[in-house]
Amino acid sequence: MAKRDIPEINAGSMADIAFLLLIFWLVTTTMDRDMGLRLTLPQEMPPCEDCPEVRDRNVLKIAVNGNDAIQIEEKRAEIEDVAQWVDDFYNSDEPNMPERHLVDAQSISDTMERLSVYIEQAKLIPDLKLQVATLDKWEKAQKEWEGKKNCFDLTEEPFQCISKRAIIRYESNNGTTFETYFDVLDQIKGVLKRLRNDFSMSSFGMTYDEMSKLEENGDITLRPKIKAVRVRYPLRLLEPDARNI
Amino acid sequence: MSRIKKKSGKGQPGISTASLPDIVFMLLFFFMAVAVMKTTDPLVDYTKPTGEAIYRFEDVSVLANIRVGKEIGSKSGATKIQLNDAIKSIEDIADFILSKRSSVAAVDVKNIVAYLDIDIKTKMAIINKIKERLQAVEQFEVAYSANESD
Repeated sequence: MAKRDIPEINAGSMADIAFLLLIFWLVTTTMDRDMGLRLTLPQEMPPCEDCPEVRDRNVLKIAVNGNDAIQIEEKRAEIEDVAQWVDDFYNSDEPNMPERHLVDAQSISDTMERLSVYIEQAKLIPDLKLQVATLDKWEKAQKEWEGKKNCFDLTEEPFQCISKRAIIRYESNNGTTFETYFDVLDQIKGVLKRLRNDFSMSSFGMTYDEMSKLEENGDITLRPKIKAVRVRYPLRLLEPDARNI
Repeated sequence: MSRIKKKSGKGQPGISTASLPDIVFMLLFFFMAVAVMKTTDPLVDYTKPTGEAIYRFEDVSVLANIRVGKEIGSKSGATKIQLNDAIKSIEDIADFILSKRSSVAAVDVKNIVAYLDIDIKTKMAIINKIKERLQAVEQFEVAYSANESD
């Protein structure tokens, strides 16, 4: 019997089908990915009873008024100046910039020793309420120094640690335009991001952003390094409640 | 068939379109890979700011999208808030966050981020009010939608 040719299926309409699918996808999806500037709002706190003394040098005041004019430390400034001020806030030794203290092997062992003595003493306080409060205070300090020790152990380099009282106070006003508010906030966060990435790159050979992405995906081995970067360059941003201004 | 053959025999051969489906499929796959599904259509008009300290969200399902801008097609020019697919008032934000919490998996509740699409011309007064509402329902994680500057 003669072999019969099987007729080929016409693939000419394949392109039409593909185009149809493509156009469907173009219409139902969007290209702009979800990106944004992250921010953690403060928790509602009861008014503090014995407020710690705030030293002027420990607060970097950045304010934007209703006319979108920027003011830093009571002086008129431009958006370009913000980055330099924030950089100084973290790195400068000038007397008008936040207090810093040296963290090295000596200061770590000294402080840890002193704190454990304080904790032992606090346990002997007869007044229970006072005992709990004092213990709490010293244990917090101990935790803080453990963080510093972790940072020092990982980098093996003494560093100047910024005071825990140091904050950037970013005040905006109800009349401020979102664009200006956002730009200043982005400048502050941008400097911190750069400082963290640079430090992390030189110490651990990987940027902070890369490490946090990996950690988010379940790599817990990076956690101590991430914590070390955060100890070195902590986020110290405070936005006063607009209701209180 | 025979007619086409005759024609091509005489003039120049036609360009083969056999690879056209491949090209289109390639485009299709590209779009499928880079684009994400539209959740809701914006009813308000907004221009995002650009910044450098931008975080890229991997998991879109945990974002509670609040849009703030001028209503599209309205002449009044008043700033409006859009939740889901409707213009809502500021009082509805609490309910919106609570319903978002119940719609995601239990482990993701703490990962919910209030994702604010805000027009750059908006005044801070309304944004501060939104923040207060979010704080009231203990939604502390917030992100201002923005594009990355290069």
